[in-house]
Amino acid sequence: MKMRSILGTLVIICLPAMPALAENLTPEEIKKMVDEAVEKRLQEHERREGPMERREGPTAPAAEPGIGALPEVARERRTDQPQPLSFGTSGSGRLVYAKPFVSFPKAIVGGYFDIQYRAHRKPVLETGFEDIRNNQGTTNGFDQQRFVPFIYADITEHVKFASEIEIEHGIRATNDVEISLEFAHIDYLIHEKVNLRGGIILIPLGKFNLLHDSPLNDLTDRPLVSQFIIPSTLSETGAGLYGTFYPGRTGKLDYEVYVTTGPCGYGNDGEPRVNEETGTKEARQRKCGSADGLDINNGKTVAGRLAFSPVLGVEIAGSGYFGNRSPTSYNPLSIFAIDWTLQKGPFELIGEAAWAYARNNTRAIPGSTFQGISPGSLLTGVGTLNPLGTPPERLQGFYVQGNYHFMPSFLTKLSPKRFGEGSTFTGVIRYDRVNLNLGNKGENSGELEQISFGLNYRPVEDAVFKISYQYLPKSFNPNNGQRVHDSALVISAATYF
Amino acid sequence: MRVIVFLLFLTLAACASFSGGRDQYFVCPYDTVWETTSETMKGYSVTSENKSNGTIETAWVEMEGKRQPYGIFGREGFGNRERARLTIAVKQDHDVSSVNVLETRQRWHARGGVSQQATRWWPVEPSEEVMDEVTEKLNVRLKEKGCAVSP
Repeated sequence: MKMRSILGTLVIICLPAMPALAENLTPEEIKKMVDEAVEKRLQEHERREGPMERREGPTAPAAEPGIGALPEVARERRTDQPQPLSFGTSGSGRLVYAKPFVSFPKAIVGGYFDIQYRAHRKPVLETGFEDIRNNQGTTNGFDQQRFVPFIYADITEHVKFASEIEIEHGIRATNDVEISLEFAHIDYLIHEKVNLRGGIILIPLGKFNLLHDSPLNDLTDRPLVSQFIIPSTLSETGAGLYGTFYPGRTGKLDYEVYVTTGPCGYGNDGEPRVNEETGTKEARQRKCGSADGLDINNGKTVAGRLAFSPVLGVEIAGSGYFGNRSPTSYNPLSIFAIDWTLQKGPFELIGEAAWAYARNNTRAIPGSTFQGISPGSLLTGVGTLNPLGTPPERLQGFYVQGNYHFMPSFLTKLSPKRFGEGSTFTGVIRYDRVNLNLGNKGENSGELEQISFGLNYRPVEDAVFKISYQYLPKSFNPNNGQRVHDSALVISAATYF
Repeated sequence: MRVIVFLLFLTLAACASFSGGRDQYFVCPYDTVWETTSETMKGYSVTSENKSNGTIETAWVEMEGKRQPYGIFGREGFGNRERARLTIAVKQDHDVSSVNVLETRQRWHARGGVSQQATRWWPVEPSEEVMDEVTEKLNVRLKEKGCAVSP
């Protein structure tokens, strides 16, 4: 029956290739023609490969994965009986065909992509530290920053799998290209109030780290606090719980809490990885070359977020991260954040504030060989823009962003397809401020400040074209570490696919 | 500290200005309004009913959601599911009784691509049609019992 339907479909698909013929036929004639063609093809098929029952009948033996002839992947997909997965086979490369391919009906493949062009008045942070150092004067360029495919699967009603593969600056063919699993975890849904999650997990530290996809954001650049204090994307291997409660008539309380591998606060030689130039970025587990992304000590990190929404459109949340970042001593990194979302009609006010404390980051750890500085001594001039300063212990930052969604009616009249229902313009204004070393006072302190004005157009909710102008009253030039004023024009596009 | 104070202020201001459902006022005794509301809600799957604090709550009802495909293939993504529940609050204020009808509606997964957030219910705007239907039924029944609608 299946074969008959497939052949029928093929014949119908072929009909438009004979338009002159098709236009002059009545529906009855077309049906007759389709039946005849299907019959003819079936006969040819049977002559070639024997009767269909041999394949589709109940007596057909189920192919053991990895044994015998290579199974046709396409045929396996059509088989109603699920194919057993087994390790008891010859172990040849054929095993891969035993996997439930992406065509498994409950698996979804998708992702997002972005592209940007930016022109700065001066070479600063966003144009890349190393590139700038090697190529003085670069202030503008194209960058395909993120290509992130994801795979999601409903394994059963209660077992879910989700993953994202992040390819950053994919054009590079050197070791600089970042290809990693941004997250990959299995969820076991028990009850709305308590669910289990294990794997590589997006750390629930601030809302932005959880919802950081380029097509979601109304400005191209991530907030400074979400780059340097909460180093988005911050994900670690671990396990934990999440759930939702509904206090009162209109309230909603979400929580997530995980135990994870923890940060990586020092290089092999004991150099602090929390510094004034990159904040906490390099202390992420995924950046830890010395331990290859694995645990550097026996201590684990606890991270969690509690979000309360008293009514629809209002949410305020507190989150925290606490774990030892040293391989030879107890020097924890703790980060605390609050975030808020207020939405009413076309207006949105969102933001986040975070405080980080890297205990004893100013002194060399036991076993350190970095620059010959003896353990316990002050690391003067290390990881700071001030030659007399020390690496940061305390870092702080926040952003506040206002959005206004609108669609001029004359545009809708002009082109309802392009500017109709589901499409919108958004005006954005954002103020960012971070201090990457609260202990470093003076001219070359680690302060960054940015004001962004943006306008974007979404033809549909999941695709966006953005333009923004940024003014940075406080930035620094990575060539010489001097504070500079800067401005930039950033144009970008991003879409889910 | 300044940020926290600012946030508290914002949250309070927002909560005060955001509506928590649809209010209607009737010039009628509390008992009449309560009984009529309770009768009206019998057609829904009521899970709790408390006359002393004037609340009626229904169970979550799952349904097919408003179609929200995403991506170049217009896929349904993570399932096209929505759920909703109704909560009614009856209060007395001198000779006037108020009835607040609130629908809480959620969608399974917020948007196409955020797959770590896939296994969650996300709040969406309530259905105006459902709230209209309930308030209309209430209006008709209370008018039949001689209750006048107070502006």
